Amino acid sequence: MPVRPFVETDIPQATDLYWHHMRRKKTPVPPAMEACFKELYFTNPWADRSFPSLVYVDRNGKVVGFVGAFVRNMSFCGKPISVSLGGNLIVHPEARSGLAAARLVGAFLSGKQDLQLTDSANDRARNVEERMGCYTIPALNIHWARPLRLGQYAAYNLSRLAGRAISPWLMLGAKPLSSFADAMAAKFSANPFRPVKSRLQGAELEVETLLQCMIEFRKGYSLWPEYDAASLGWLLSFLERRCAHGELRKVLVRDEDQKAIGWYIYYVVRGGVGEVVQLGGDQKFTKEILEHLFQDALEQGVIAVHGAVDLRHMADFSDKGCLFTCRGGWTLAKSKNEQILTVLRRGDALFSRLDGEWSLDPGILS
Amino acid sequence: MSVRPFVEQDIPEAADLYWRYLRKGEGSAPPSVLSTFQELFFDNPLVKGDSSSLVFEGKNGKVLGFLGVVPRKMCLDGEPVRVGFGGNLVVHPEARTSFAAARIISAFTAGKFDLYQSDSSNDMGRRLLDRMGFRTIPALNIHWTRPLQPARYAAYYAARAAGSRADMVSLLAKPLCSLFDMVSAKLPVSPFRLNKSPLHGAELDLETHLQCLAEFRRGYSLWAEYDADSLKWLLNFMKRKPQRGTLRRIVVRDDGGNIVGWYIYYVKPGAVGEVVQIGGDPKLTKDLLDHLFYDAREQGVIALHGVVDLRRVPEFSEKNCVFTCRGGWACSRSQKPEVLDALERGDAFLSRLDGEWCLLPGD
Repeated sequence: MPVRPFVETDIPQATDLYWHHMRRKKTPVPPAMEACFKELYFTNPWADRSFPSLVYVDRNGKVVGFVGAFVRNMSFCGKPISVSLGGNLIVHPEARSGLAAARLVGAFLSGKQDLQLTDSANDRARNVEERMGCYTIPALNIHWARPLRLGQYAAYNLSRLAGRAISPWLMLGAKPLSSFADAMAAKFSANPFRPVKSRLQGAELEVETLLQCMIEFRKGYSLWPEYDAASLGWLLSFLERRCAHGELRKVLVRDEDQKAIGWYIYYVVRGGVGEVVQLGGDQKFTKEILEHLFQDALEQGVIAVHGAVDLRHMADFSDKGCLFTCRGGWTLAKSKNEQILTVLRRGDALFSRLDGEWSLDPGILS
Repeated sequence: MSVRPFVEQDIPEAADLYWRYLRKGEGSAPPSVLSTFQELFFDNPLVKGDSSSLVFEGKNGKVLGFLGVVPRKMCLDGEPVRVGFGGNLVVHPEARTSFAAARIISAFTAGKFDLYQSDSSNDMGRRLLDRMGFRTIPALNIHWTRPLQPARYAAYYAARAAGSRADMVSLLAKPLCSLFDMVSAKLPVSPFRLNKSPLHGAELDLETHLQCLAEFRRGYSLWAEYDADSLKWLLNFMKRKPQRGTLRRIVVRDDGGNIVGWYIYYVKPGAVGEVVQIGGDPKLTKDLLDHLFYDAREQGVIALHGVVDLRRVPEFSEKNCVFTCRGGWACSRSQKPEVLDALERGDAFLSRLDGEWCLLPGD
């Protein structure tokens, strides 16, 4: 059987696959990557040896495929359910003509969890997973973008289209013009991306406060993730160490009476795009929380923010100048319980990037 | 002051209200608006002489408020659903302090329908409807945009923002925009590159359209029901709306001559084309979109706008469409939870053809 559980001694081969064939790096695997894989797949608070990650080995016993597996606890209509998250599906190019990917996904999906979920599949992984019975859930695939400095964001997107080799030069060349355009646009009242000064107050978001907020503001949803202080603390610490995404910023938002009404967590990249991990709070104040986020990100030098939006909040995000696409990694789900799938399709699940495998990408750790 | 059914004798007053306070026109409503009111609210196969529209009458019997209601037939899992589409809500400024709008909507929702619906509300209308028990269903409020000539599209919006200097902005930007659009249409990495579809297009006739609607609604729980009379009238009515452009209806076939889909949109060269309906085999959605985009580009359209079915959002995104919720709010109210549930989970095969969007009385 070429698919078997991932064990600690496979880490060097798995990181090699990840580094060279998923991240497409030409350099040797950084030493920190092996420690990261060990932490992610063997020692994290959700590590479950009865549901391991999987490797695909060739005739010589060499690891030529890998899929990472995590188990999360969630609640469905108040009852606990187990959810498996699959990610980082990689197959060595020489093994791609076979059934390695399909067998890895098939073995992953044969687990006994109530829900199997992936939230960062690329187009190729999505095709494999759909053939294996997973569904692309539209309500979980709506990604938003909000330009903060429109000129620089346009230059950023154009430079990405131009390819890696000339991208930095294009950005540099376009900077004076795009900065001037942004400075002018900020003065026009008709500019839909003009920042609005928020009346709310921000403060550092602590783990305990985030736990309280999650419990308080999940009301009205049928499915949500469950955390305790240890698991949430580990997750945030892991996110903080992912320097490839930028500097993690966690903000609690209070009203004039110092009442907590929401929060947001995002990565700050000065002169780049900030990725929003989670935004939550009182639904009545979604637009004001967004205004606070945009103002904060602008002050941090971010040119645009990206994130994934809960279908229920789409109208509020749209009102605040956000644009939507499905580009940002596919979310697919499989469950034997049709009610769980219905809840996901209806947009009745409180599920953010924090709660999926998006936040568990090994990336590059500091 | 009270709400009562709209009768034919009210047409001049209601049309005047519409003309002055919704369209911001001068003087009395033109004869074409009066005849459109007659046709839209009394003489068409959807209404069949049973008008459900309402007026708000002042103390002296003067019409101070109006809500146009057009009944539609739909099906939920094969069972008939009576749907009332309310639109063109207008209240005379003198009556706006007397809760006229709320009273009209309250009377509307006390009617005979299983589902009360609006699909073109502005922000103020949406807030009012929300207070009156309507729900903004996210799955019905996803509008898409696909630039076909991106630079001209950007210039089009810049010109609109420039107000009185719009013509000058357009003229100055045209050479640069044309160059940019020509390059972006050919560069392999450009997201605006248009692919020639392997499918074949032809004029969509009424019978074929009816067959398509029956064939491709499979897999949905809720859909609109048409017969030849109602669909014919509707399409004729839409054809006579020059402000949106020329109505273009295309049936799309594969190499074997099998129908795989269709689309209907308004062509307005040098401006945005509004898509009324796209349907067909879900497996070929992306090919259908390619066909539509290519067709619209050939007609001189600079971008397309439409409303997307939640299920098809991924395919539209893969074809470089961008989504917003801007374009008129769809709000729903029903005593039947199964109807709202079908709408919320994106299980309704509904388009702009099936609501009040296509029933604009016009200028």
